[in-house]
Amino acid sequence: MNATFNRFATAGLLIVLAACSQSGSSPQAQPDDPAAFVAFMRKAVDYDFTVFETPRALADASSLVVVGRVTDVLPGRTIDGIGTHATLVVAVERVVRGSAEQLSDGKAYVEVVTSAGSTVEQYRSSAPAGRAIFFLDDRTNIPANGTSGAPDGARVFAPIPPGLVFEDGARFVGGYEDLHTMPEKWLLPATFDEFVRSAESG
Amino acid sequence: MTPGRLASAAFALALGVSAGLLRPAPAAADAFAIGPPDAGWKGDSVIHTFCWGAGFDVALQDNANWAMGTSLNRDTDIIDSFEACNQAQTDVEWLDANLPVGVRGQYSCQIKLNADTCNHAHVTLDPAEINIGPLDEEDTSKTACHEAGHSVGLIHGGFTDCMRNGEIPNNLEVWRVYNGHHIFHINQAH
Repeated sequence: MNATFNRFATAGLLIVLAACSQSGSSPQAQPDDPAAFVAFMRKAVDYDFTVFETPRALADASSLVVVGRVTDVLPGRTIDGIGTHATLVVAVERVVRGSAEQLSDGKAYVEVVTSAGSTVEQYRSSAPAGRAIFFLDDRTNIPANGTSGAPDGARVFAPIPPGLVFEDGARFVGGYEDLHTMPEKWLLPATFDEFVRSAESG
Repeated sequence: MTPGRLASAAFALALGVSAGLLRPAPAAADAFAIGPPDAGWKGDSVIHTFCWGAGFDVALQDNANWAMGTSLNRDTDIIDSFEACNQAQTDVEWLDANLPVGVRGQYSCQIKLNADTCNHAHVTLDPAEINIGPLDEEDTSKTACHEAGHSVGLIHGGFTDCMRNGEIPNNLEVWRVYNGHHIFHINQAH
């Protein structure tokens, strides 16, 4: 074999490895792209929900609104009539609405429905590294079976659809809901930070 | 083949493989029935079985019957069929629960047949969230129709039938049934 062959073969191998890495075969690092996680959310459940005209209106209806990052995903509770859940461990960077006292050691525990298309492990392996804004309902006292995985005394929240929105490069993307189905004011912000501001101040 | 040509071929193959893996999915004008998340879970046949789950509120049964018997059975090719719950195969098990704030109804596939077809699903209604404004009875049938629509592959989009989100604007029947576009796709997929 000559030097040219070696260079081409090495380059080809690197390209294949890079492509495999981007297609999700590396379980160690959290992906930057929220697309896979969003896909699992939309496979899990379809809601009919009250439409809030603006992110600020949804924030007003929420128990807690935070900006943070999903750092782990745990097996969650089972609630009669709703089903099984995964618990997202969210490291909170900013409380937009509500109080930091609703957190547990700086974390929010957020349960999302699991189903045939979306398991705890699928959520865990696809959890994006980037930020998200969570519009939450306090579900701590809802009768449930099993444990949420949260520490004793921690409150348990659920997202209010469509109020789970991920930073997506320069823009943002809805979790449960494609935000293009929402009233136009949901899409007026140009960036994730502008979206957060719209939830805060209207 | 010379070593140089062999290397070139390997390089071209690698480029082709990587291009295929990295290429974004093509945009579809209408993504219906290609499976979740770009479309909903469809039913496993034209016969759509349903049952009342444990404790399903008697007061909600008329609304569920509307969704299965009128929205689907009367207006589409779907044939509804009531049965005792068999959690391995009944297509839709109706339930009620205290859902999160703002959530009127929920559909979730519990047992899938394959990537786009569901064998057994739960549909859950929350009357406390539905009965906020006027027209409670019609609003409940709207949400029942909406969630039944998810069980035959519909996703959100459009604002002219029961697949819109939230409260209905008036008591016209259009909000408790499927529009022609959705009926076409339900029939095509089943």
